[in-house]
Amino acid sequence: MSNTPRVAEFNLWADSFHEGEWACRNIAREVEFQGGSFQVQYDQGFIPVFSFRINNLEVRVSVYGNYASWSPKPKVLEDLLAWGKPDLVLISDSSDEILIAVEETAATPTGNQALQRCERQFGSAIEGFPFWYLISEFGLHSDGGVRRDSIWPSLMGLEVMTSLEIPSIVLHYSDLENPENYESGKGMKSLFRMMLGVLINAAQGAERLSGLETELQLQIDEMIKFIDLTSANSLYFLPRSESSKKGDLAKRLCKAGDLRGSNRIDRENYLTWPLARDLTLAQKSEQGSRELKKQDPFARELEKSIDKGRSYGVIRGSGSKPQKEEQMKNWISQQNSLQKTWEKDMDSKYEEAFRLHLKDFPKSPTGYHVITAPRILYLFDDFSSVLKCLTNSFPDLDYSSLSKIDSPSLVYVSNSVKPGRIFGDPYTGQIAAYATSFGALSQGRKVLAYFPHQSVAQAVNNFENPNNKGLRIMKELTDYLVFGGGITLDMKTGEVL
Amino acid sequence: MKPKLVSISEEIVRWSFEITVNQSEDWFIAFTNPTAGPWKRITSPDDLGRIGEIHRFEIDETRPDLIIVNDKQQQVIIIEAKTNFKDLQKPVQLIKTSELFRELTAKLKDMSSNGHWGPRSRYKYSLGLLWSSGDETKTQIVETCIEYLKNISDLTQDIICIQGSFENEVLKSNVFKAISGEILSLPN
Repeated sequence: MSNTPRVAEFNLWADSFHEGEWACRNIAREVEFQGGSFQVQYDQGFIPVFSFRINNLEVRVSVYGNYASWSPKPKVLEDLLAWGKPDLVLISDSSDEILIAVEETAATPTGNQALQRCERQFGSAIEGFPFWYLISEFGLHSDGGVRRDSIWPSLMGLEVMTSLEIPSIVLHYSDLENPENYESGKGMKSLFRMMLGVLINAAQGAERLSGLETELQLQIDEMIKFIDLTSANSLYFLPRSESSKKGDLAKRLCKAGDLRGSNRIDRENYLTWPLARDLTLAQKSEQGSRELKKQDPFARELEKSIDKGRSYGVIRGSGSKPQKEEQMKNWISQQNSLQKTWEKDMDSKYEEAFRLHLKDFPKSPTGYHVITAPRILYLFDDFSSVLKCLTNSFPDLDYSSLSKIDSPSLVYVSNSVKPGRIFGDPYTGQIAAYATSFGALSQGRKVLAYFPHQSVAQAVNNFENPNNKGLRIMKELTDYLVFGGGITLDMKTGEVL
Repeated sequence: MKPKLVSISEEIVRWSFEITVNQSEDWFIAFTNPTAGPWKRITSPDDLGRIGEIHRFEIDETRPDLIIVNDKQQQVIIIEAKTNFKDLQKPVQLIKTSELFRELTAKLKDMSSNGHWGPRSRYKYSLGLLWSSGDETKTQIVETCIEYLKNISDLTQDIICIQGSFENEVLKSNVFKAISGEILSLPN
C-alpha cells in the first residue's frame, strides 16, 4: 500500500488575511488534537497555504484575504457576496463548490447590530450554502455592563433549517465570567471541528456532512437551549415547537436535503405562532393598543386591530431616537422631491398622496421623533384584517386586488426617514430575521412591510437593480411594500396598486 | 482555480509585513487592526511569557494599524498603514496620526506598573509609516516625514518607513529611516 497521501486542494476566501489565517490555525489545532500534523508556507510572501496531514490525506488550504483584491472569483462566490460578505467561505479548488460559509463577530452585537448580519445568513440559505455564525454570547458594553446576544440569528437559523433543510447554525463562545473570550464556551472548537470534518469529507469525495451528525445535533441543541433561556428578553412569549422537529433535524440536514425548490406551503416551520384568537389569557393580558408618538393613519389602525383581537405584537421594546433638525429637513426635502418626480409619470390618483412636513414630527429637546407605530411587528390572523386597516387609512386608493388573499399575515414597520436607508443596515437584516423567524419561508404567511416616511419611487426605480441588496431580500421575503401615503408595491410583479 | 491579485490593499501590505515580524525571533506584534475579528486589544507577554491584555480600544477610539515590540533593542514602533503614500501625505492624516502617536505613546509610557508591560514603558518609541510602493520619490518621503516630525519631535527624531513592493513575484517590505536614510533589516 502506498504511503503517499492523497492531496486535495481548497481555497479559503476571507474578508481579511487575519481572519483566514486565524481560521486555519484553529483547524490546525483540531488536526493536531486528532493526531495529525500541519505545515504552513506563504506563497508570494503573503498567501498562507496550510497543509494538513490526517488519516493518510493531505488537505491543502490556500487563504485569499480581502475579496476585492482578487480575480477571477468563482461565480458561486460572486453570487454569495451579492448578499453581503461572509468572513470566511471555504471552496473546493477543483469544483468551485462552496462547502461552508462562516460569519464571526468579535464583540457581542447589541440592539439592531444583532440583526445586521442576518441578511448574510439569509443570503447563504437562499443560495443553498451551509452557514455557520460564530457570535460572542456575552459581551462588554461601553457602559461597563455585560450584554447577552439576541435570539434573532438563532431563531432565524432554526427556521431556515426546518423550512429549507440547509444548515444555518449559530454558535456561541464566551461565558459570563469571560465575556468576548473566544476560548470560553463551546462554540469556537465546535466550529473548527465541523470545518475540519467538512474538509476531510470533501477530500474523500464523501457527502459534506457525512459522519458529522452528532456534532451538528449538539450545535442545534445549543441553539434551542439558548433560545429557551433568553427569548423572554426579546419576546412576550415563545410558542412550543414540536419535539420531532428538533430530534431529527441534524439527520435531515446530513442527508443534504434542500427544499428551496419545493412549494412554500409544503415546507414546515420550526415554530408555529398562534393566531390572535388562540392566545392564552396570560398572553392576551400583555396585549393592548398603545399611543402613537407621531400620528399616522395606518399605524393607528394597526394598534386598533390589537384591541379588536385581530392581531398581536410579540416583540418587546421599541425605542425612539430623535433625529437632528438639519438632517430631517434634508431627508424630507429629498423624499418629497423623489415623490414629485415619480408622480409626473403616474396616474393623478397618486398626486400629493405622500408629502412629508417637519411640523408633523413631534419635537424633543434633541431633535424630532420619527416613531409612528409603537411596535415593529404585528402578527395578523388573516390578510383581510390588514386590508381593512389599509382601506380605512387610505380610502382614496384602490386595494381591491388584494381582497382574494386569505392567509395569516405579518406587518413590519420601519419609520426611517433617510432616503435609501430601508434598503441597508439594519433594516434588511431585520426583515430577513423577522420574516424568516415568523414563517415567511413556509406555510404561506403573507409579509407586508410599511415605510410611512419613504417614497415609493425608490423601490420602483430600483426594482430590477440586482445590486440593491435590500430589494433582493424584500423580493424574496415580502409580498407587499406599503410606502408613504399608502402607495403599495406588489413585490412579486413590481406593480404599483 | 487559483485567482490572481489585481489590487494591493493596505491590509495586504501590512499582512505581508506581519508575516515577517511573526517569523523573527526578536520582534512581536502587540496589536494589529484588521477590519474585523478578535484583534481589538494591545497584548504583550510578561516575564514568564504569559500573554496579557494591557489596553482595550473603545469602539470610537482612534487605533493605530500595528504595534510591534523588540525587547532586545528596547524599541516599540507604532505604525500607521495606508494603501499608498499619497494617503499618508494628506494634512488631515498627518494630524490624526501624529496625535494618535502622541497619545498612545503617553499611555504606554504610563504603564510602568502593568505586569505585562512594565519595563517596556521605558523603551524607545518610534512612529512607523507603512504603504504599498508607488510613484512616490525619496524627496517626497523625506519631506512628508519632516512634516510628521514637526508634531512629535519631542518624542522621536526619525520616522521608520515600511514600503511594500513586489520583487520577483514576492511581496517584500523595504524598511528604512526616512531622515537618516539608514536601511534597516527589521524585523530580522
